[in-house]
Amino acid sequence: MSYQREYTRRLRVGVIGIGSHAYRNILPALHYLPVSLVALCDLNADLLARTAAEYGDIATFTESAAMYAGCELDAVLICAGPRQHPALTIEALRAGQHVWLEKPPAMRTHEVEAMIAAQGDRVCAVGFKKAYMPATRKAVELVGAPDFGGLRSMLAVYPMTMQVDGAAVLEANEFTNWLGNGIHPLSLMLAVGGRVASVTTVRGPAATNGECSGAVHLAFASGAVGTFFFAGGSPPGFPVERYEFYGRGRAVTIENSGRIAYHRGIPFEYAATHDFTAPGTDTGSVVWEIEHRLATLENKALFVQGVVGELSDFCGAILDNRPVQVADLAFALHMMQIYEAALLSNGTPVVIAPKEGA
Amino acid sequence: MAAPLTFGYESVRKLRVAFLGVSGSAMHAFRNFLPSLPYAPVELVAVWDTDRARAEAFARQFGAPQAYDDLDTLLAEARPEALIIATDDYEGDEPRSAGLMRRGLEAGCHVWTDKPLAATVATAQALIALRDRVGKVAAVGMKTMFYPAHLKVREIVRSAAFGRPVSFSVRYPLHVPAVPGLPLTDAAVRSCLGHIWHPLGTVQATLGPVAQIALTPAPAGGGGVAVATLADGTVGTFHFTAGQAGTSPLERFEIVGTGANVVVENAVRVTYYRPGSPGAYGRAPTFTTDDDHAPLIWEPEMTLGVLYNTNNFFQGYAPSIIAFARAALGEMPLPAGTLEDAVETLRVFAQLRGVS
Repeated sequence: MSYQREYTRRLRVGVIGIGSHAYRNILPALHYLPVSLVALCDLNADLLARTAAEYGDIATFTESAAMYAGCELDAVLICAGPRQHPALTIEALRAGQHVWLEKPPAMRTHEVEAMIAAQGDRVCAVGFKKAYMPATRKAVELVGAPDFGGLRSMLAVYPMTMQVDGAAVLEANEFTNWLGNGIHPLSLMLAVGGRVASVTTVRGPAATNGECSGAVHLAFASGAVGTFFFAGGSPPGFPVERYEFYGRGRAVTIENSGRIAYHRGIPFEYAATHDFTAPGTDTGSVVWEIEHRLATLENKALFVQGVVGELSDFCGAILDNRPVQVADLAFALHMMQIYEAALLSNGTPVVIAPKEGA
Repeated sequence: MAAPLTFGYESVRKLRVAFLGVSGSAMHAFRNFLPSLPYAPVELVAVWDTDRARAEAFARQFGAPQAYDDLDTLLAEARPEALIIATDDYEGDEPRSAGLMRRGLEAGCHVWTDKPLAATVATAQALIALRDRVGKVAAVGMKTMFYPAHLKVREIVRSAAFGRPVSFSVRYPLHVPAVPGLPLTDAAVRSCLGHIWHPLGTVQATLGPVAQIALTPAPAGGGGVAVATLADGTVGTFHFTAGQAGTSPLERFEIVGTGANVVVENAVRVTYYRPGSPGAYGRAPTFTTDDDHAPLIWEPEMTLGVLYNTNNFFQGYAPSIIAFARAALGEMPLPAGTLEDAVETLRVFAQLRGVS
């Protein structure tokens, strides 16, 4: 792991959108990436000036087109919101920029298709951070190993509710928590489970302000199945998020982003096994858990939550002339298909038709 | 893990045992010892209690054909091969267990008794001499010496990968004497004697006997801290947490080796932190170290109606009685809970009392 100041090859980057999220998560992550921050762009000139002052000699712009005209950039990081992302991304791609954009990538699927059409030879990645969490990458490795026996099922538990009338949400182009945050666990599920063949939403009967509890069932193309359980109503600050993956005699769990376990069990004979341990070290659960005492990298939220990982993949794709490894535009398109299908489903499966690019 | 269990009814050769239970320990036995008997190669032939009605009730409950309130009559009529004793009564300074074990051995029985065996090293040593003279098996219910968790820890700390154990800590809510020299009838001293077997058995089962211990009582609450040394130089601390919340788990146990450590939490969760590096300081971007170095956990699942998640097993009761019965049948030596183990515990008890 290298720090920004240690890289000999660095990308000249500009950042569009320097609101609270970018200020807390994207700009600080640059310290660990092979980049040089060259320019900031935001509609709020006052915020722009005060933020730029923290980053030394960098240019500021209130219009993205002016930034492209006035700065020599390799890449742009866009953190503006799903209504702005499609246009800003296409503009940047047409200006010759490699583009990383924060999630959600858009409001609708067809907008991601438009990005793909405009991509050309540029690298374009989307900030589905949970797909890049170290715990997720370890789960992908473990679930994919022969010893796991193939993924059979998975469970995601995450605080979420969904609108009773999903079609109306799409028709009104409404931004909801299902789009803003529901795609977090969905992206992790896709990262581990792969392509989804159909989506079924089961809504609970009780609705508050048009939102209800429920669950989204995913049928993966591999034959595995998954459930995204809506833990709406969980207490604020309670670490409710949890994932479980089951194979054949093996399971993987992720708790609270920072604890991943590979469960191998013990030799078991019903009614006769009277010891929950077993000789040697080939049984029981292998557990990786963050050590939170040291002032190091692996326990920083930027690393634990996958922010550095997602941006590192983007930078590496450009510098090494390789594809984005996880959350490229095809991944984003598939994510948006599932997002829309879940809104439209009401107890019956909605088939996800393969799309070009997805 | 031990071999799959043979139930008592599957055993070809069964030890004829009588259960001797008196006073408050009767309910303890009702919950823990008597329900353990079906897993041991034993046949319950009689129950004795000073309260005849209770003896008869227990006999009916657990299938013993005879109940007695006179021990001599039981020994003469039922002719048991072994006695299982559970009492927290005292005869003067000594737990009644010591006297009952003595009578049992003198009558030619193998004897298992719950702790406390005795109050002094001298009493335990006299029982050893008697045991050796009559050639019978005598065991003490030091259940923590039979915890599956602790036996796993012992395997781990004896492995080459763990390196030499160098230090340990034990947490247990033991009441300890507030000042040296208190009599054996003092309530805190008696409470200490009743339970010291648990934290000491933990260390004895995994590392060996404690050679020296120095106690600093807490200013209130009845607990304290103690620094201990084993014969090989291993050092450790006992945190006697008397005064803790009644809702708190009682035990936590940790041993540190050479680049490795192992922890037992709440008696059933074993975590082995294997030797390994978390990565270069300040450079490692992930906490997911390589597989061969990642910590390991064993913890019972608690949903199946099986043995390993039954407290009779994970708290060591059934394993202790099974081991005693098999030793009495000549199938194996008694692996733990010997009178010699009891002597080691009582040596520490004497040091905590300040009378050694």
